[in-house]
Amino acid sequence: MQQALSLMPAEVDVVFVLDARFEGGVSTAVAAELDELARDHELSIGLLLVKAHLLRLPWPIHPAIRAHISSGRVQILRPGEEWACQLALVHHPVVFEHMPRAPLPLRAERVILILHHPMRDAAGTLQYDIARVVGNIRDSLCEDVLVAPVSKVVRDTLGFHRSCDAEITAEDWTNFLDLNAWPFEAEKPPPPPDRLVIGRHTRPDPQKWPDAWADAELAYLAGKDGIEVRILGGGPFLEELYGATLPSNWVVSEFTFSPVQEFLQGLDAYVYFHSDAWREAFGRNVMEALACGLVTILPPVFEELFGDAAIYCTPVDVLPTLLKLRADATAWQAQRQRARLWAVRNFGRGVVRERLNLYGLRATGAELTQSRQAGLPALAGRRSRPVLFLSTNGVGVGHLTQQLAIAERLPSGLQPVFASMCLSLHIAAERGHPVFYLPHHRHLGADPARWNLALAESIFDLVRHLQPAMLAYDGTAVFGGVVNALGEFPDLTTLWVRRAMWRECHRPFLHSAGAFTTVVEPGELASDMDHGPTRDQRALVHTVPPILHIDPETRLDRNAARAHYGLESSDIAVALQLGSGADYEMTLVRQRVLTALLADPRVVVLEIVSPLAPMPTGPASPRLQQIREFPSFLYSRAMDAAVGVAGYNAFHEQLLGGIPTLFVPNEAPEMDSQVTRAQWAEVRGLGLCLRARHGIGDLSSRVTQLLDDEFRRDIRARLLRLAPATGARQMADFVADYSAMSRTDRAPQQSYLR
Amino acid sequence: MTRAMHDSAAGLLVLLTGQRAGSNYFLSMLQGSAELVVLSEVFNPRAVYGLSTKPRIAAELEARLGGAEGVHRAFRLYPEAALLELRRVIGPGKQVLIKICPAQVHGNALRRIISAQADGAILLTRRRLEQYVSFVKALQTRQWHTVATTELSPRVGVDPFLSWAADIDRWLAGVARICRDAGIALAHVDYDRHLSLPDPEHVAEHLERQLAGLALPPCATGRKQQSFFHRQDGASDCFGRFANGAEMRADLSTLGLLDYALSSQADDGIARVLDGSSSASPQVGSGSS
Repeated sequence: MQQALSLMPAEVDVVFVLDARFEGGVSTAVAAELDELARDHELSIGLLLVKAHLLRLPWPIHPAIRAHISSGRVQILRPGEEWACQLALVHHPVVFEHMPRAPLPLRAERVILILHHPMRDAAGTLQYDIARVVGNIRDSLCEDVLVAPVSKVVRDTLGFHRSCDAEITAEDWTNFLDLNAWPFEAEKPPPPPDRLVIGRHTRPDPQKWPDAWADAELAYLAGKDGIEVRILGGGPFLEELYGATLPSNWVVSEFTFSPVQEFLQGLDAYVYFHSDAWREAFGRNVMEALACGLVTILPPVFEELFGDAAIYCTPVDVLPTLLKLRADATAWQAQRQRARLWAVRNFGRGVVRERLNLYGLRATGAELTQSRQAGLPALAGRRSRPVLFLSTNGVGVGHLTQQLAIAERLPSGLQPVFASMCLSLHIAAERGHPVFYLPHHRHLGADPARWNLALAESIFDLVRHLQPAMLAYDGTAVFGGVVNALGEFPDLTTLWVRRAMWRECHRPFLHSAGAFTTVVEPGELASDMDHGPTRDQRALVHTVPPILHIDPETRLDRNAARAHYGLESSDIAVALQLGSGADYEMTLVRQRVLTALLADPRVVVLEIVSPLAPMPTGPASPRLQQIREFPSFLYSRAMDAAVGVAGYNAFHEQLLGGIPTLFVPNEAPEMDSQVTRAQWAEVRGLGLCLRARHGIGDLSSRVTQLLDDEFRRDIRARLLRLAPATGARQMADFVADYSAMSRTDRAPQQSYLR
Repeated sequence: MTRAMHDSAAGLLVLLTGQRAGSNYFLSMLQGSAELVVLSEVFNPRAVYGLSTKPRIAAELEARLGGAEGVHRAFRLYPEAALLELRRVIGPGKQVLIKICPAQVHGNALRRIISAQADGAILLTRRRLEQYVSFVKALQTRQWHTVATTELSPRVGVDPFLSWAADIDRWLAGVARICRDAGIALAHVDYDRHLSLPDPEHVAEHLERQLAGLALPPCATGRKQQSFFHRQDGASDCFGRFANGAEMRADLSTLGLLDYALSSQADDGIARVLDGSSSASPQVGSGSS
């Protein structure tokens, strides 16, 4: 019976199908619908993430949609699974501009294709081929397709096009706005005669601005005394667009995902003019302004959409219109009331569920139980999808540790599998993960060219065998064998977790980025001092905050940690962690550091020995404990200070864990620039730096400094002010999201050799 | 000649109304004729309402459409085809009356049902605020008929009311226009003017007059019918039926919308459509624009 059940597709009521990486109106509209539907405890909701062709850079999922994924209220439909739903809502035709590269995990009874964008722009240029999009949906998802434009503006652009036989709904699929989230201050008085704040908010796109500076200057009251113009979603592009320095009364902020309500509530009036070439499909930004009851000035083209809720004029009339209205308090208030009333009459109710009802959703009347929400029991017999974590690591455990930080935060349903050249791969196995060892050519003494052939075969076999949802590679060097193996699986989503702080000798590896679907750069505290080859590439990759394996708040409390090491309360516990020494001689440094530390009778040294290094000898002292443990930072609160290398993990775990540290960077040529990190910490008063070959003479004084109680207290106070590192969580979300994406981003002819 | 005769299927009458306008009471007044099969919200997302009282029709439909689930699915996804099947099961020489509320059938399907299948339609309206208060109370009790609600005193918000009323206004105006464009017989019944009367004889009289154009079977206009439905809210003053009546009255007055709240669509929206003075093309599906 269980076996039979596992063959049945699991069911959800409605599934949103979209490329949730869009940062603008589409994702915002979907998030608003999800907000509304998530409160309906009779409805199960699925999300089929698509990687469409339009966004080539590695954008993350829109945070408002990510919040729904994190809440667990929305079921992610992963490639390879089998789901059924009543209604699938395909948001934006770009999602199916190309056919999916693999069968979709969903069968729907009906699809509604929501057109968020006009089919032709103002110049008449075709933006998407509706017939092809509908055809692709029919071939891959469901025969029954309805097409729903979001507004009359979009609907009108379909008028010329008869090649698509799908029914166009009579109703517009209007963007939803929860008015409870857009408060209206009814009693707010008109602005005083000497001050007026106007504003606008859009994503940073030149098309969202008037074509000519003459118009922008008039519409946005450039240089007018007593008038402040707040622009959310501006940026350097504005000066490029207009070839002019922006006026002093413009206050420009970058576009953010943070709620815009606060921004709008700081305005007296809203003014929105855009390029003649742009055709605004719906104008969600305007809708939000109206919902807040802002006096809103628009070009006449919007009158059809917003009626008497706004005032329409050309740029030259913006100022006289505003001044005239401000002079008449009653008229000002009446206009605000009209704006809000328009929003109330159009968006005041929970129409999202009603809209689903309209197109055929059947209600069961059953409360949404946990098992129904999770799609069980049909999923009971289904296995987790592997994520293959592939890493180098000839001399340490850094890349593997970083991958563990990500892997151990993945949601259930994804099974981390490790394939690594790290000799300490057993630490992953000991934590319960399947592992495959791939020996580095140095460990074999093998010819690199021949070794690369073998490596490619090994990776090919692994991918063929595991069929992972994603391959995540971590390492600075991307070997030819890796590139060649990935080339065999063009539809496999692959991720290169590429740290910063490269040395110039690593530059050739930049070209390997093209072998991966996407590149993510873990954050560096010292990034502003990084002038390595990756610095200029940052606009092309996704960056996350620093990645920690063990979040500080999850580390053992101080008393328990010190008890773990048998420390007395009066002891000064100093961690010593100088790496494997495989590529950089640290023996002399170690000896001198130990001598200096143990000279202070309060000090107990906890020497964390690399899993790859032999246990070092002496000096014999009851105040020296030599430990092999992973992850050692679980007990970091036991430490009063540390002396160690400045590899990515140790550096960030120590600083963000609040441990005053004397950094001794490993300056081996093949390593990343540890000295940059160590110097950054010293310059900012967050730690000390001792270069092994340059500053050995200062060692004693540096250690003395480190053991000074007041010095450590000051450093710790500064360390506690660093922003918490959420990189591991963000990276895990990123991996989970990208591994869940069904891909329509490649045309068939781009995928294989022909 | 009716479309039913042409289709070898039962004739179709459609009651178009927002919820809580007295439609169950109204339908119960029309029960009792062998020639008129009175069903309810056959397109309701929860179930095909009305079939449970017609076991023969239900059984035949289930046989044709794949069981009870198949019937529900067909009415939700393919309303026109399901309705035609229903009319065929009932058979020629009879009429079936169904109720359609907002958010049950999308605009294109509704237009096709009315223009290709319906012989006549009835628009049922009620004073907006009274209807909304009744709606709020029904949501609170989760009971949609035969529950006394006089004792309930919920708070009612101006914004939610105006949103809800705007939706109903748009929907009724839209369906009225579809009926007018389709050229079918169209009757209008208003709860306050024609149904909410103390004397059942007066109700029957009003109904007979209002429905005269629909060619209903002779004994189906409610005369002598005794409905088991009763008025659920006994309070006479609309603003006395909820907790914040005085506040609501003041707010509506400030907005200049007091008359609007206390009138029905018969006084403005659909009246303009019925007399041909509105040429707007409202959206008819869910009521939202």
